[in-house]
Amino acid sequence: MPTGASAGTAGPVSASPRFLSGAARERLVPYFFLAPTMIALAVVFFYPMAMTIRMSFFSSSLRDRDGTFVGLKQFVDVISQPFFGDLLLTSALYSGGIVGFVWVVGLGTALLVRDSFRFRGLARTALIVPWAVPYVAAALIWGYMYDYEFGVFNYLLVRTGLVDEKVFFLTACPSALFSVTGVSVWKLYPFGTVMFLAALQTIPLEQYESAKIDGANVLQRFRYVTLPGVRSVSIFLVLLMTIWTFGRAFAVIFILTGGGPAGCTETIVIRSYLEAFNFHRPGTAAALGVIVLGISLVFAFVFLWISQRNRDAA
Amino acid sequence: MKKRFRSIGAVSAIAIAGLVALATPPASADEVVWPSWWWGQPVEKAWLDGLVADYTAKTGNTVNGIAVPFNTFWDKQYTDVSAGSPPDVVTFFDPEVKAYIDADLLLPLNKYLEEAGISLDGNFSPAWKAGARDGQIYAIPVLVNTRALLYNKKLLDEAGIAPPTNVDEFYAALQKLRKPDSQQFGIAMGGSPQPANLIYLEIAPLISGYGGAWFTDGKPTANSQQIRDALTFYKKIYDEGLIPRGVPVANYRDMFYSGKLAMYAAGPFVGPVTKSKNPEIYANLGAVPLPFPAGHSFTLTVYNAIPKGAPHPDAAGKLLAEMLTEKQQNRVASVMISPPSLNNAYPAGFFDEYPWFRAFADYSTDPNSLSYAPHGAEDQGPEIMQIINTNLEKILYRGAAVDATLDELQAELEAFAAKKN
Repeated sequence: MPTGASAGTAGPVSASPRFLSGAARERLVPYFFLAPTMIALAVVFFYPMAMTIRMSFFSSSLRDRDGTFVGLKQFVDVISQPFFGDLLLTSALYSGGIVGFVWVVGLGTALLVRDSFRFRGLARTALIVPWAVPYVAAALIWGYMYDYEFGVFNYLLVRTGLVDEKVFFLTACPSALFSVTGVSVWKLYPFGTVMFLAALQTIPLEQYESAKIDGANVLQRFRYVTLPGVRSVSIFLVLLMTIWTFGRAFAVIFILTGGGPAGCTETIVIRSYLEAFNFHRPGTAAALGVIVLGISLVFAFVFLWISQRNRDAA
Repeated sequence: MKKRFRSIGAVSAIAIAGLVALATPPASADEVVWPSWWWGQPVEKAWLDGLVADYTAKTGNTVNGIAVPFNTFWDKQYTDVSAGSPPDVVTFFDPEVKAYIDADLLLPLNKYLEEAGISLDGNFSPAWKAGARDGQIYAIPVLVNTRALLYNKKLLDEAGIAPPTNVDEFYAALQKLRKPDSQQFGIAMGGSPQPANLIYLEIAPLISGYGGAWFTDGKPTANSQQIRDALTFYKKIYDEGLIPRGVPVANYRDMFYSGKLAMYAAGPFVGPVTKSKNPEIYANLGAVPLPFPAGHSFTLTVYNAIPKGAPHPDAAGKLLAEMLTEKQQNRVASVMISPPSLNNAYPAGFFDEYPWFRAFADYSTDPNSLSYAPHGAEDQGPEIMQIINTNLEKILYRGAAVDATLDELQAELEAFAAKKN
């Protein structure tokens, strides 16, 4: 913003005219650096979010492109549908399953590769690989492995005698929900591993040695030293994963089951997609999206509150 | 020296102006924007290239064909149209065309057809009527697909059986053709949780083959005896493992192309794809009418239309008219190996070259071959398909009884229809 400052106010060394004083320029510099990010966020994030919130209050269809204001009607309609409870439950089970297993597998793998051993670098790299595989590719590959007729899982289970009959990984309920959750856990556990690995490095070795001298066995050392040491990271991980998975419960499910069988894996996000693109009801889809946003915001506020509390404590 | 530079400059300017003039189309030329998955398919693209060449020669206009993958095509088209930035040409199947006409989103095409001297009534498949309302034609049928039973003659011969002609022979064939050791199946038909419209289409030959229809004159008929019989048979072959279970449609199509699937109730598109993927299987390709009690098939028509707000409606109108000329309709058969919408527009010698195509050609003119869209409720097609698919999944994957589930489905569809009316 021009402030009206003239070249004269900039000092005797300034020969060319200036629009801003040195102090004003200094104040504005951070905003110039932030501007590209802010513009990008506004275009690809805030504007679509504002439009989605607006759409949720307007009934729209192919015929009525601008929509008619209907207030909260679409929210009431969606929430009063008999399937809404199922959508919420499925979304919660899916997210809860991922968060729980990512915590367990992430911590387990972090403990495995914490201490020094031969090829530790290689092992750590291998553990991170799923994080780098795109969701679509991961879902397609797991789809082949889950295949009832030709999948490697059923082949191995039957050949090793672990099961008498093949397992319907994707065509029975609730096994389909477990299967899609499994793929997401596989994709996301490296994030838990990395976070826990960082947290484990901060636990002083003296604490383990003291516990050992006091006669604590492995489980006790885990219970009284390791777990308290990763407590903060655990809280952040759980909250972050909940926010991510609840709002993004789509790609793996859409590719593997499309929400089936018979709604067994249909989450709010999958339903939102169906409402928008299959049934041509963008208003209802937006209402579902806003509900997901609201639920995610609750977790986000908890996340921010805990972050702030930890900062204050520090 | 200065003079020399000036001369070179003048010559260069003239040369550049000449090149620009050559490269620039006439001032009146328009570029028709047409996104479609066909641009990315070798067989369909060959037809499109010929169409565009003839169209450009006649009108001077050009076509900007944008290849959009089939999986995302419908979402993209819907987004373009609903956002108010449509292309010049849009494409539909049966259920969507009614929804777009009812939403008043399409331009009438009568003047373009009249200018080209094309009359649909009596000359083209009755499917054109689905693209018309109140005397106005809003969408034109380019081709009218049907379904018949394709088979791999070599596998049938190995099993010592002839192509089945009734449901008993069909069931016996499935038992003989099932070879778990070599992962061979007699037929594939749905059998995995997939998008509703896809599964609806995959089992449509069974439903129409039994003479059933999910909707008749706008009223649900989901618990008719024909559909009860069709789904009872379907559940039986699923439970007995006679069809691949949990295998996505794209994967079992590959099974047919690779000789692991002996039969497939599908459209004629399977022919050219088999030919390109596995000529050995294609050499053994045959097709017969559907071996179910009523023996009916259905039609799946590809429509093109011009959306309101299209940048070049007149140029697009001429392109659509060109699609219906006898030459282009002949090419639908000879290049795309699909039933043209113009009656009997098969080039000479076509059936000698493609003997397996006869079953499809017969079905495409059979008055019993009705559109696969829910009759009288086409505009609600996607939602109806979703409701049907959910109940079908209950029967196949969650152990629900056929009769009770169909009664529940009927009640659900009646409630849905009442709400929409």
